[in-house]
Amino acid sequence: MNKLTHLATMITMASMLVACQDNSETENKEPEAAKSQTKSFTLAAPQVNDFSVTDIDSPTSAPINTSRETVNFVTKIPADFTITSPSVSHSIKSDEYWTKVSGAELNSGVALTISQASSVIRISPRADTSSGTLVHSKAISPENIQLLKDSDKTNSTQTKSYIKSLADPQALATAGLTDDSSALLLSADAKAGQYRLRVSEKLQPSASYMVNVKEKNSPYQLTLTSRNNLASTQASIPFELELTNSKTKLKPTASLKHANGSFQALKVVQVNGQWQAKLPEVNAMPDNNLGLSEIQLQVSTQVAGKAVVRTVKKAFKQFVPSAKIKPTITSKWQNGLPESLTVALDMDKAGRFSVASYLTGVDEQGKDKPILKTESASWLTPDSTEITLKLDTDLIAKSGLKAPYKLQGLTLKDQGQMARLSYQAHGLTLN
Amino acid sequence: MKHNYKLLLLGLFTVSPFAQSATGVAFIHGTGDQSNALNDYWNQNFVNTIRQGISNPNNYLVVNCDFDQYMWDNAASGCLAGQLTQFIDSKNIDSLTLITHSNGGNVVRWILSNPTWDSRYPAIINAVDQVVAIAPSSGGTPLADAVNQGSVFETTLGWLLGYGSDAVKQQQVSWMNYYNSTWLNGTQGRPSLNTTFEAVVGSDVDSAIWDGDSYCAGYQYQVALETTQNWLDDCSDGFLECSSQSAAGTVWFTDKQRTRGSEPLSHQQSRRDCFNLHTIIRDHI
Repeated sequence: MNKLTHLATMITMASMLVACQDNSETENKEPEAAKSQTKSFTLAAPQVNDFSVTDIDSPTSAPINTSRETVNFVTKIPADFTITSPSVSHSIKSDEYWTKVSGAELNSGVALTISQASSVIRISPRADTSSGTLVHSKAISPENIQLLKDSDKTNSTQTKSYIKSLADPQALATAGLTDDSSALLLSADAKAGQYRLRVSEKLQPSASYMVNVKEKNSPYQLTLTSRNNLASTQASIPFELELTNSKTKLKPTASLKHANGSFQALKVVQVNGQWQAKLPEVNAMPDNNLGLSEIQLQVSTQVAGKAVVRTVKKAFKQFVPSAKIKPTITSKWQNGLPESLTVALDMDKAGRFSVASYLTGVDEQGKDKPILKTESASWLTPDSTEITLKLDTDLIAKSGLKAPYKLQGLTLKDQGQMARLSYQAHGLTLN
Repeated sequence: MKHNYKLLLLGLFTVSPFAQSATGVAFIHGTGDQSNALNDYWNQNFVNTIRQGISNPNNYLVVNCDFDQYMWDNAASGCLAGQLTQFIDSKNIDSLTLITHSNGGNVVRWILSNPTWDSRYPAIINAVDQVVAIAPSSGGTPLADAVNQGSVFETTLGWLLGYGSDAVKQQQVSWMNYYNSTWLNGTQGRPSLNTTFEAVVGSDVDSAIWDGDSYCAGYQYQVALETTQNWLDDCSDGFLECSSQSAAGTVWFTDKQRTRGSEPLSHQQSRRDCFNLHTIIRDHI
């Protein structure tokens, strides 16, 4: 196996040292080259795709991981492994939209925009809090769902022609939709346009439902691209938005959904052509470190005379910039090889942090090749801010790779917030 | 003297029972809070057949944990780490095969990817030689997104009703994008898992009521599948798209390539003894 743990290594080494202690002291004087050395290095300047925090702040939410144990781990890395920077943003596509409606609205009829035949309409009961307590809204029997086209006369006998099939909550649950929803599939000859969705059974007027229109393989796909992480010091969420096959200028509305499910409306602005959703001045941060936040965007537009509505959401991590790596790193050497590195953090509040990095060496062609990955996590306090990264001198020696050794892909994470705080592609060169 | 000491040590390790190696296999379920996964999640014939593939078939473990929680939660990966550690220690396992289904693959990847999160993880990582990930939800599923449309009260209610759990939230597509890019290894552009993570991909669903094969733990509601397939690619097991199942590690095989009669494996069928899946895995581990 190409894996080593320091636990195992330390146990084995400790056994051997105890066993050999007497001999080493009496028989051999430590050769000059084997003497330990300590050297200090300064972190390299950040490069283009590196990221870090600047001003340190203290998280207020309870940390997820409160373990006080220090854990080290060293892994041998194949020489052909390519160290790549982590992606900082992602794109999500949507060919659907969803909207919240009340029982009263469903009984009187809800306007729906449909842009293609064979779309699916799904009605999901959500919570009703009108009684002061949390009550599940009633699931809807699909046979009580009617779909009218606005251009038609309003009578139920015409509605069935737009519905190909109906699915009840029990059936949908067996297929993975486990939220008590009912659904109808539009017929293949249903035309794009404005429809009215109505439920004939009497619903609690204040009951809450989610209506979801899914238009699979639609030529109108809304793509949202935004960052994966957002520090609490950021006042807005930058994003890109594109609707395929449309040159119409979009006017999105935005909201922020926290992991606890609470929604906040966000003001959307464009600055130098870049969309930004302004975060609220209060309660912008989640109230706990569990889960992720989501930005949700809704667009209503016209494409070639056809109404198109889309909703898209994307998850990201909001975090407090709780620590950063100090520029000076100390190292211990044995027999001319680095055996450990000690990293100190700038931080204000106790927490569990991890540091990880690849160690590379130079091959015969003069190229940097990875030798190992070293990781360490500890519970740190403002009075004890150091993490030691173990290196394995046997692995380094056996790799055949030579100095200068480099620390690459240097990563700092806050395990309490479950957030990556910094990444530096080239950390430092161990000369 | 020094030389003798080393030989003595070598001898001690050689005769020690702790030095004997042993293989083991553990079955790790998907989303859900299990107390009898052997019967309620897998089935006996599936488990009992697969464990014949290791040298000592008695060295097996059927994990029961609360995988309704986020993968890093102590009730999820913490519970899994506890049961695996106890199994490894009690049986002296040094070559462990993990058989996972669905979200169980994510919980395992959490442990393999985050050795410093928990002091029990390094020993587990060192013992694991192979992961057979059946229909892993490595890239999430749009169906998880669909049931999570809503706000605070809906989410809370979801908890009460048993859907929309944290594990389901976690398996939304953009959530898994985030975790794959930050906390989980094994996907494209990310560090490898340092062990084989071989996915068995379910690519299709037979649900026609006239097809007897569809009743091997299969779907009965054609209309429901016809509906939910609107959220999925044409290549899916009815719950997960093939792209999600193959997002991490390597693809060992796609169902029809090896199953009896080239039958597809739906998401429900791929944790049961359907279409020789159990014997295929037995012969592989």
